[in-house]
Amino acid sequence: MRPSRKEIEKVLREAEITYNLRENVLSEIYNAEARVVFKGRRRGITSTLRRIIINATKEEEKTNEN
Amino acid sequence: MRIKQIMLENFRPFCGKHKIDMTTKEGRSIILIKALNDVGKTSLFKAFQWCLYGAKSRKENQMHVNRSACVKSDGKTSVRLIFSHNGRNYEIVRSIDFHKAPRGVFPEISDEVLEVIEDGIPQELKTKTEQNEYVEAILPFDASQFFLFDGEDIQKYTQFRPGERVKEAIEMVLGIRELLNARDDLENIKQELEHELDSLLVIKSRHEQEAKEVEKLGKEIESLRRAIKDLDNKIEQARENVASCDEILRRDRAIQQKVEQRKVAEKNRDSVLEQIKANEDEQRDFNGDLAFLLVAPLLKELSKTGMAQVPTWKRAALSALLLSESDRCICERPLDSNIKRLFERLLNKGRGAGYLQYLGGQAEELLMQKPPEYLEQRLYNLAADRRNLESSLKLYEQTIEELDKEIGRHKDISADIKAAEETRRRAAEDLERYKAEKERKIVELSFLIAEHKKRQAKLTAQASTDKDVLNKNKHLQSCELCLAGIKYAIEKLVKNNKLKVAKLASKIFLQLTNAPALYEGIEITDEYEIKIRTKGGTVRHVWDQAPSAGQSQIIAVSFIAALNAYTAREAPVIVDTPIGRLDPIHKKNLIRFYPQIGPQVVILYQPSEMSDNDIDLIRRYISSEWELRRDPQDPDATLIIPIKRP
Repeated sequence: MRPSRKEIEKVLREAEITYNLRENVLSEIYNAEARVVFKGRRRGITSTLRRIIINATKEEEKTNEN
Repeated sequence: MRIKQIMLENFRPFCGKHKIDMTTKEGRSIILIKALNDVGKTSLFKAFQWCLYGAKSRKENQMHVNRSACVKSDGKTSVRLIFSHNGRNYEIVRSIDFHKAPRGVFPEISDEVLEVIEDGIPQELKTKTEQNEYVEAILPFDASQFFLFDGEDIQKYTQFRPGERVKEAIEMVLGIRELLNARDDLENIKQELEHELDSLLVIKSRHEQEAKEVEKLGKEIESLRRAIKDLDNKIEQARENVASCDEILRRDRAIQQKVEQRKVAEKNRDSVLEQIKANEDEQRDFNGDLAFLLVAPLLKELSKTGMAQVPTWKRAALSALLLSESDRCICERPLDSNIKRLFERLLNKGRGAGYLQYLGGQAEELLMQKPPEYLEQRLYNLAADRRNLESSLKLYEQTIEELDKEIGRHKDISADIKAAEETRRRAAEDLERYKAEKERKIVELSFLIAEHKKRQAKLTAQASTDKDVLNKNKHLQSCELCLAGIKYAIEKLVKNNKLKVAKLASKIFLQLTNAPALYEGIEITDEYEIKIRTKGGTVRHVWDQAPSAGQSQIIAVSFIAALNAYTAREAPVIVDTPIGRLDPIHKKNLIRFYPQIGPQVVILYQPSEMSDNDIDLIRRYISSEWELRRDPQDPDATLIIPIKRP
């Protein structure tokens, strides 16, 4: 009985709020991981996650500037 | 994952090709496989594991080769698993080639080959890592221990504190694989970022060091430029010195030339003076000739008339000349004693006709040799020569006087010239030395400028290092927060699921145990340690409880069954030795429970574990039954025979 996507999303959102993270950044990470699990090949996942983290940092900076 | 078929070829006791159809019908999850000990139950169990995950060693692969097959000829050992998973159809074949080998000797084998066909399309999995990743995505190896297990072996979950891998495996089957992967990946990224940040800090420090070096280089360049400027001044000074020396030398050489000219003029003057003296001598000779010429007519007349006819006064004149004791003749020629004696002899001779005739002859000869025209001409010539010589003399003396005025007190200037030449040589040497030094310094300067420029450009290119460090720090912080968020989510989801698992495990345990009155249920700690809660309210670790082997098996089955119920992995449960040493009550409870453990349950049992009566308890859940039987023709071969029930 796999935790439902809704349950996972809820927990991830809770984590984003707890750690003051940009909205959906953990969901993006989860989705990226889900994609590679589905494909069965983990090649490139590290760079994808890095890109998500970097984009999140940039967007946070922009938000702070505004 | 739902297995449809397993095909074995020369795998362990299965000589030749064999297949078992494992499709299950709706509501009939059980597939029973019966076999006596040492016939092939465990081998079949291992075939599933080998097909998915391969062997740990070459020796293990050699042991997988059927002994009868390799004695006969070269061949192939393979296991083919056909199954469906997440709506896709898969076919995984793992094989090894073997060479013929005598009985009792392990055969030579090739490396394992894995072929994967997904929905009819062969997958290109070149490396071992790619192959492992592919299979892991379907059913992770660590998670497989909860799906493919030995009934007796699972007691380990109750007898030992679970290790990190078991904990990970439990978390994996609880359906948070993506989050666990994210956690591991973020841990790796965090390490990478920390490493990169360290590198950037090192670069920054090096950059600062380089900036200092570039500044130092700039100072060196400035210093070199000043040195070159100094050299320019020195070169200018040296040039002036050389020019000054050249001027002095030019002047001194001019004076020296005049000194030489004066010497020549002096020499010429002396020569003229000598010529004048010679001219005077010649003049005197001429005067003598002239005087003789003047008296020649007289002597000629005397020689004709004889001395007797010469008046006495005339003889007296000759005598008076001789007697005058003057040292000069009327021709101004000096009269020495010899000449006087000659005159006396001539006078004495003139007394007679013979002397006069002699003198007359001499006069005649003289007139013949030096006629008056000649003497006249000579007179003019001598006078002209004298004038010319005096003129030359005057010219030379004038020249000498003029040169004296120009030369002044510098009579000999060669020492000055030598000194000036030496000074000039030294100045020229200095000039050359300074020029060479300047050239060297210019080369050095151009090298330093190029180096400075290069380093400056490098510094400019690295100018973003500070910004990079700042960014990297931000990325690291962001990564750490994401990691904390993911860990938070894992904990939360696992905690939720763990409670559910514990609740279900308790329910199953109470359903399976032979003493439900003694227990309240099972608890699972954060570290996945299994605890037993008794009716009295005591909670103990299972290993503190020291349960019997049978009780341990029941607890473990309860845990695994609960875990399977909440797993994210839909996988078949394949149980080897399902009953083990359970007492009849446990056995009955467990057999009744097996159909509920998963959608596809393969039970590999030996006849003493499950009788026909036991099987009857789950008869309506059985999709197919198979029996592994030793080949009567070959003791090393096992046959797979379907059991047909009426």
